[in-house]
Amino acid sequence: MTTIDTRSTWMLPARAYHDTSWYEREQRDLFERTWTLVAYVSDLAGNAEVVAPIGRERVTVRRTDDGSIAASWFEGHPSPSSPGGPRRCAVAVWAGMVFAHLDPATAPPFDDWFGDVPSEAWSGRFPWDDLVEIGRIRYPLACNWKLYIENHVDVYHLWFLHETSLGMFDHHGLTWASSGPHWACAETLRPGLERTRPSLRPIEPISDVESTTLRANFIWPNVPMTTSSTTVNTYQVVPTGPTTCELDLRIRAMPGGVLDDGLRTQVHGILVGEDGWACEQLQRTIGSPWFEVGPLAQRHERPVMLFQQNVLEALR
Amino acid sequence: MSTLARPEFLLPPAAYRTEAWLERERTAFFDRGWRLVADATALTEPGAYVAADVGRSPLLLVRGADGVLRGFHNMCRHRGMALASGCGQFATNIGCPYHQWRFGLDGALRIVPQRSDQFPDLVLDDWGLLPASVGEWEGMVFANPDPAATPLRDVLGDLPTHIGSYRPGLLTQVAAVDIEGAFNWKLFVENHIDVYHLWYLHEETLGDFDHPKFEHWQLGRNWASYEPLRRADLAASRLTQGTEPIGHIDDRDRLGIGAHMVFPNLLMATAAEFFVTYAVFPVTPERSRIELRIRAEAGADPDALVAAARSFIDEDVNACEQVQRVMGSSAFAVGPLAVEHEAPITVFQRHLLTELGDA
Repeated sequence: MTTIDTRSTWMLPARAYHDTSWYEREQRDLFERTWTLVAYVSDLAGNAEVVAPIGRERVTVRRTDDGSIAASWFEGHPSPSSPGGPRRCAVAVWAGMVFAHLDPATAPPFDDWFGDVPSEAWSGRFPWDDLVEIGRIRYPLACNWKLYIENHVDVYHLWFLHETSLGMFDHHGLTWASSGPHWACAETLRPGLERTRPSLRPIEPISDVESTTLRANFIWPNVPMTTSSTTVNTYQVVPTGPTTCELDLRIRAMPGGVLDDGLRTQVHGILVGEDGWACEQLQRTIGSPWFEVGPLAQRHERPVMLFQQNVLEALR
Repeated sequence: MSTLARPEFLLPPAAYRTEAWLERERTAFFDRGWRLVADATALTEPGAYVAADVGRSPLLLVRGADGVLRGFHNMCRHRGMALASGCGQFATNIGCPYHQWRFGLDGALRIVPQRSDQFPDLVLDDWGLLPASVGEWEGMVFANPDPAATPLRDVLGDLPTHIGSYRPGLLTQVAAVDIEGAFNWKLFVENHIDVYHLWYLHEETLGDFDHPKFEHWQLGRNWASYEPLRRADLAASRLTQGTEPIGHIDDRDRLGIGAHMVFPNLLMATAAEFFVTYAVFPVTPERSRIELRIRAEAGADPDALVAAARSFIDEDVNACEQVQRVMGSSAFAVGPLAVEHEAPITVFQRHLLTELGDA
């Protein structure tokens, strides 16, 4: 458990969650100046292309003739005939995911930027290359994207909002850590309890500890990532407007796993029915002229403050 | 009766079409205005609650264990989470679904989970729910986000003494219908207080009434009116044919209709069979929502009464949508207004500009 004595406080003004000019600043100064998850390697089989947003731009990701992965974009002009031709992105791959940065000249080296994220202590040791995607679901939400991230890194809500759905985990034993703007947390199943997912088989090989661990990490700026004994999920929170976003959930599991109705209901229940619902409720109140936030839990909600500090730093 | 020497249309087309103007209205009065949010019968028992948005503020009205009806901002003092939606019944406290901070029915913060570990400096008394204002008039509950709002009775002013013999509190809310239309909210208000259109737009629906005998009173910013039937033998008017008249009203009201307005957006209409409120709210600059609430004798046929009210409201909605359409034209202009019959429009616009600081 990370122990920090400093008081945790809410850093962002209410307009950060509904104001169009704030949203545009984020698109330009935050998203367009950082590394972003743009595709999965599995999307790029054969000649397949993926078009993904980085801020206001649209990046095309594909394999080149030599088999490497490349990404490019046209500044403000999404046409191959644009003056100056396509601009090349910096590209990096980790755990089957493709990350891109619009400007190779100013992009920090990916490994430096990624910090502790790839370490075993942080992400566990999973057979990334053996996993297959068993489902991809997009969920539109009526909330600002930051509310969803803040909810994801808020440890305090686990006991209450997810009292039943995540009640089998030992929240009191949860540990979390930051590395640059990224964040990781892990908790284990309470003795004698389990989380049943009959349509999936256990991921192998993973350690005994990993088989009872739930990790809920966060890759800056907008990728929550969870791992368990049966699935590796990312649910990128894509901003679609000042007060709307879309979860792009991608579920990986061992070959043969199936996204059946039971698993679909379970995932939807937590990510949308509980977390998404809470964020949409917050979005309702945040437009009130009387909106204000009180004291934050000094440890359990400190990651919310750290995320907000990173947002402010990006916009500085 | 109000007559202006030269009534004028004071507002520019932008007042009906632009987000910037609507934002000024939200800030100047909708965010701090009174809104009819519930029938009083929904809030009689201790613990009963109603959640409703007023302006951009979610509010929560709760009947306390001590019998007092209180208004709060529907916002947990921790992270701002909405505490409840719709209406229902709290047991002994109000729990936030996000982190289970719990407040008493009086709004005081009672329980913070993991307080000693996570909030060692927190003083419960500092974090009670933010208060809002509540007011009750004749069985109707109103709320205002501003805890220091002008009391409802002062906002209503003399209007309650100009609604004839009606006692809405003795009636039952038998129907609640929301109607949306493609017009700016002010057009609907201006149409409501325009006497001149009664002869023409409502030629059929209100044709049994004697418009030349129409009386109206400007009551500060509010407005009230009455007109009788053309002949007493029209008592079973075409307006509400087939529904039972209200028992407690006098002959004047049994043989006439009323139309009233509480500035800026609460409209009322009365007939022998009903007392209707229909507040109009902006959804966007060019789209509005009408909240039609019908009070009548218990057991009255709600479908018949809704049909009666909508017979003239739908005509008004249609007219407002047509005016909204032409307001987008660069050639749009308003000509002379009727000195008496349209004077209330000028008065309304003058008060509106005063509220916006443009007088």
